[in-house]
Formats: sequence, C-alpha cells, structure tokens
Amino acid sequence: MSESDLPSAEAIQRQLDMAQSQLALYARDLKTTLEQLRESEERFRSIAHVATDAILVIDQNGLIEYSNPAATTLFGYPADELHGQDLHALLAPERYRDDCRRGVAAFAASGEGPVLNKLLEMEALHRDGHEIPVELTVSPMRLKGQWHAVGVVRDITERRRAHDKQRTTLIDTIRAMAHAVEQRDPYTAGHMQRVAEVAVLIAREMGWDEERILGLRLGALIHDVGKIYVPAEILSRTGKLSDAEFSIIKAHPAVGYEIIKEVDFPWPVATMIHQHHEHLDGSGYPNRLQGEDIVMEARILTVADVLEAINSHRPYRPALGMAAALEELNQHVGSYYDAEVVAAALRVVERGEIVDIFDAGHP
Amino acid sequence: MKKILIADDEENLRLLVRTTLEDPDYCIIEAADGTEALRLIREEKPDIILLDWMMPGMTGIEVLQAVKAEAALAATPVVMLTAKAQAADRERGLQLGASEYLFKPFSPLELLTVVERILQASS
Repeated sequence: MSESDLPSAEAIQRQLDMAQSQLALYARDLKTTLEQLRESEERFRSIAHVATDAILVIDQNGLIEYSNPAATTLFGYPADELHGQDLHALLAPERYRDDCRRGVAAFAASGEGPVLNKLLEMEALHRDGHEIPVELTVSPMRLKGQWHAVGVVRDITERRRAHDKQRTTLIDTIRAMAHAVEQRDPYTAGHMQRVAEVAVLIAREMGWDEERILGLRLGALIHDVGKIYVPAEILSRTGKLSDAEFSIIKAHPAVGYEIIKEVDFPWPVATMIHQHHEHLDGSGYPNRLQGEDIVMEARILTVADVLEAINSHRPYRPALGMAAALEELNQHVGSYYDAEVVAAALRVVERGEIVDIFDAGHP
Repeated sequence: MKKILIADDEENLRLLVRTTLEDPDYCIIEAADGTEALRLIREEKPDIILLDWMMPGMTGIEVLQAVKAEAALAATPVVMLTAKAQAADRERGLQLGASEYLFKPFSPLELLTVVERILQASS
C-alpha cells in the first residue's frame, strides 16, 4: 500500500468531526424521546390508575401484560398474580373458555375477531370462585409488531340486580292482571298460569334463549285478558251457547290485543295474544291468518292452550285427559298446529313434565 | 412488511440508520456501494431507498438517475442522505426525483419521521 492510498489526516479529522456531531444529535434526540416517553407513560398510568373500570392488556397468546388497580379490586388478584397468567384460564368461567381460546388463536394470526370493539355482557370469575356479572369491550392494539388486546371491564352487579328486580316486578304485575281476569271465571282459575308453564317448557325444548322465553311467558300469562269483556254468566254457562254468545267469546283475542298493544314490550306480547286462536291453515280466528303470518310465540301458545284446556275440567264437561289432548294435537298437526311445536310438546309430555303442572293445578 | 434499502459506504452510518429504523414491520437491506445498491434495488424492489451521495462504484446521484430511468423502479421513493450541504446539490437531487434530502449529521427523529411519512403516503 503506497502512502497516497492512506486517508489524509484532514480526511480522518473530517470523519471524526462528522461522527461526533452525528452522535451529539443522537444524544439530543434520545433525551427528547425519553422525556416524551416519560410524560406519556405518566399520563397513561394516571389515567389507568384513576379508572374505575378494570383495564387489562393481553399479548397474542392471551397472557396478561398489564392490569390496573381497578382490575385487582374487581377480580381480587394482586397485580403480580395477574401478570404473565393466561387471562381466560384465570378470569373466564369454564363455559366460555373454549370460545375464548379459539378467539385468541384467530386474533393472534389476523388481528381480527368477533368480540372486538363491541360491548359484551358476560360473567367473570373472582379469585374466590364467585361469578361477577360484567360488561366489557375488547380492542385490538399493535405493539412491537405483535397483536395485543386491551380489555376494559366494568362490574354490573348493581345494574343487573336492578334489572332483575324490574323483571320480577313486571312478572308480578302481569300475574296480578291474570289473577284479576281469572277471578271472574272460577272454572278457568290458574289456566293462564298453567298454559304459561307449558309454553315455557315447549320453548325451552325448542332451544329458545331465556330472554325470548320470558316474552312468551308474559304473553301466555295474560293471553285471555280480553275475556274481561265477556259477561261472567257466559263464561260460566254450563249449557250450549248461542251463536251470538259464542261470537262474544271469540272476540277475546282482539280485545286482549287492544288492551295490551299500547304497552311497549320488547316482545310481541300483544301479537301473540291476538293470534293464539289462529290455525296454520287459515281456519282459526279472528283474522284467519296462515302459516308464517302467525308468530312462533302464538303457535306455541296455541298448542299449550289446547294441552291445558283438554286436561282441565270445564263447566260443561269433565277433564278429558292427556290421551285426548295428544290425539287432538296429532290429528291437526300441520293443519292447525305447528309440527315443530307439537314435536317439542310431545317430547316434554313423554318426560312427564306437563302432567306435574296439571296435577299441581288439580289437587 | 416494508423493505428499506440503505446505501452508504460507511459501515458505522449504516449501523446508525439501521438502529434508528429498526422495527418488526420493517425489513432493512444494506448496500456498501452504489453498484451493489442498484443490484439490490432491482432484486429486492424496496419500498423506500436511502442513498448516500458520495459512494465508490456509482455515486448516489447516479443510482438515483438509474432508478428513475427504469419503469419498474421509477415510482420507488428515494431519500438522499449526504454530507454535501450545499443548496445546489439539494436542488439537483430533488430535480432528479428524490423525495427528500437529509443532511449529515441528521436528526434520527427527523429520519424516522421522513421514512414513516413516505411509507404511509405510498401505501
């Protein structure tokens, strides 16, 4: 190597100067960045610390990376017992766990999932094993090239208690109405209560969720409310009714509809009352509705009504018994009665559950 | 995953740039001279190119001209990164189609901001 190939002292000095000033700039930027980081971290911590909702951050394997003090209060675990743990194994009740695990696996791959950015209501497990009703949102967050999820969880024990209380009050009010109607007609005392119980069993057999079943139950409890406009002597008449008297009785679904339709239920209560004497083939009353025009609640109500009525004593006849009731259903399945409803009713009858209700009604 | 190509003959400078831009969403490719840079640009089709001006083989300006002359590469944003602090050079670099022109010594935060802005605009 000749001397001329070596860099000159000036060139080396220039490079050193450049390196030095470059380093100075790095140091300055580092300081700025650290200050900003500290500030944003402090701000984040203050927000997370004063929050009354539990905040949890999990990595893409579902392990807890962060929890705030409200999480400790809600779930009963100190922060160090939460960190690094599988969130769902620790805080989700057994029945949710498989879904959670599948959700996390799909989320890790795609950053997407059915629970993201939605308000969910479920239960969470406290450290002592009891379940806490909670409302939560899960939001995706990209951190260090990996998907994370931020969960904000709120204890809704009080809200749910208030909600349950409202529900109980609503059911009690409806029951009181039913009682008032049945007072006028001692022969059908308890009829609506029993129809409601049978309807609930059928709906449950058909796999309905409890929320929808509650609507059906309320409708069933007052399905004959329109009979308050039928004179008591017609209701308890033992002899044959005239056509005029019979048409007064046949008005009760429409009257019931008119009474209930102004109540803004979250279920089709007025409609099921209106339609509970309709038949699938259009041979029912009052509107000769057919098939799909009759709501499923009314189709169940019709079958439950038949089952109860045939099994009950009437002023004009003794109870005809379960065999007669089943014969009626089998004879008109598909024409009057919905096949799926009848099939579910038969399964419930076979298990002996309905007989218990009727026996309780006729000690 | 975004590909970033850094071309600079000074290894330490490449190290600084690489450290500054390091991110799981970025793949960083390095070239030590202009000729290698152009070969890697053709092979790897990076999303952004950071070019030093003074390099052995081809200068940064020559690489920039070659990139802008090839239809398949012409749209790739190029950031010139150089110690040549004269305003005339900056003008020339921008005229030839460079997206940005950063002077050495550069602020790492400025480099980061420029790269992020360009990648965001092109995606």
